[in-house]
Amino acid sequence: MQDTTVVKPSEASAKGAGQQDVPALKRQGKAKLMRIFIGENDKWNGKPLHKALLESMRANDIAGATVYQGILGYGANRRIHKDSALHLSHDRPIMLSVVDTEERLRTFLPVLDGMVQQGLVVFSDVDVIKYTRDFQKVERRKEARK
Amino acid sequence: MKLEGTAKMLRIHFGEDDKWKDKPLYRAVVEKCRELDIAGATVFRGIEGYGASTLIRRPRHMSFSHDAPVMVSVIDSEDKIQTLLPFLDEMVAEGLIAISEVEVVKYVHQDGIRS
Repeated sequence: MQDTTVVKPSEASAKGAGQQDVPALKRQGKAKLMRIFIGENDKWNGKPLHKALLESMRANDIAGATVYQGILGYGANRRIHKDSALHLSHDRPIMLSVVDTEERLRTFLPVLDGMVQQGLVVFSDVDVIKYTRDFQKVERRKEARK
Repeated sequence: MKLEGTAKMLRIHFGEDDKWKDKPLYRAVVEKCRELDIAGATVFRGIEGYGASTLIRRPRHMSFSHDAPVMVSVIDSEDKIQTLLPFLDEMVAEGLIAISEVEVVKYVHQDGIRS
C-alpha cells in the first residue's frame, strides 16, 4: 500500500515504482513437471525432507516448487505392510511439484538421489504459460532515460 | 516390485463426503488400490472447487457444496492401472477420472527399515 496521491499519472515518474508499474511478461513453452512423493516424517540431516528439498532446489536455481500435504496414502516406503491391508501409514503423504526445463531438472537429479531414500519421482510434459514482471524492461527504460 | 520407464498416472476427482458402502470413498479407493497391489496412491484435499459432483448438489444447497474437493493420485504401469478401472467405474458415482503419462525416474523403497 502506498500513501501517495497521484496528481498526474505519468509513465516517466517511475520513482519508487511498485510492482504494479512493472509490465507483465508472458512466456510460453515446453517444460517438465517433476512430482516427488515422500512421507511427512522423512528426514534429511535432522530436518524434514520436504523442507530440505525445497531449500536445495532454491539453492540450485530451480524455477519453482510447491509442497502438497495429502490426507491419506501409501507408496514405496509402505509396501512392506502388504500383509495387513488396513494398515495405512500414520505419517501423511507429501508431494512436491516442481516445474523447470528438463535439462535443469535432470542436473538436479543427482542431488535428489542423495536425499530421497524412499519414495517415487516422476516426470511429465507440460506446456508452461508463465506470467512474471518484466524487470529487465524497467531497467532498459531507466538506462534509456540516463 | 519394480517400477520404471513410462508409467501412467490416474487422478480421480470427487468430493470428500462421497461414500462407498458407508465408508469415505477416498478411503475405499486407496484400500482397493492396496488390494490390487498397486505401487502407490495418495489422497489430497483441495480448499475449494466445483465439478461433476458439486455442481449436481448446488440446487439443493443453494450455495457451493461444503464438502471439500478430493483428488486421488495413483501411479503404476498401464496394465496395473487398467485392472483398477472396472472397480472405479463401480465405485465413483460422480466425479472425474483422468489418466496421463509419466516417466518414472526414481522408485525406491528400503525393505526392513520400517516394519
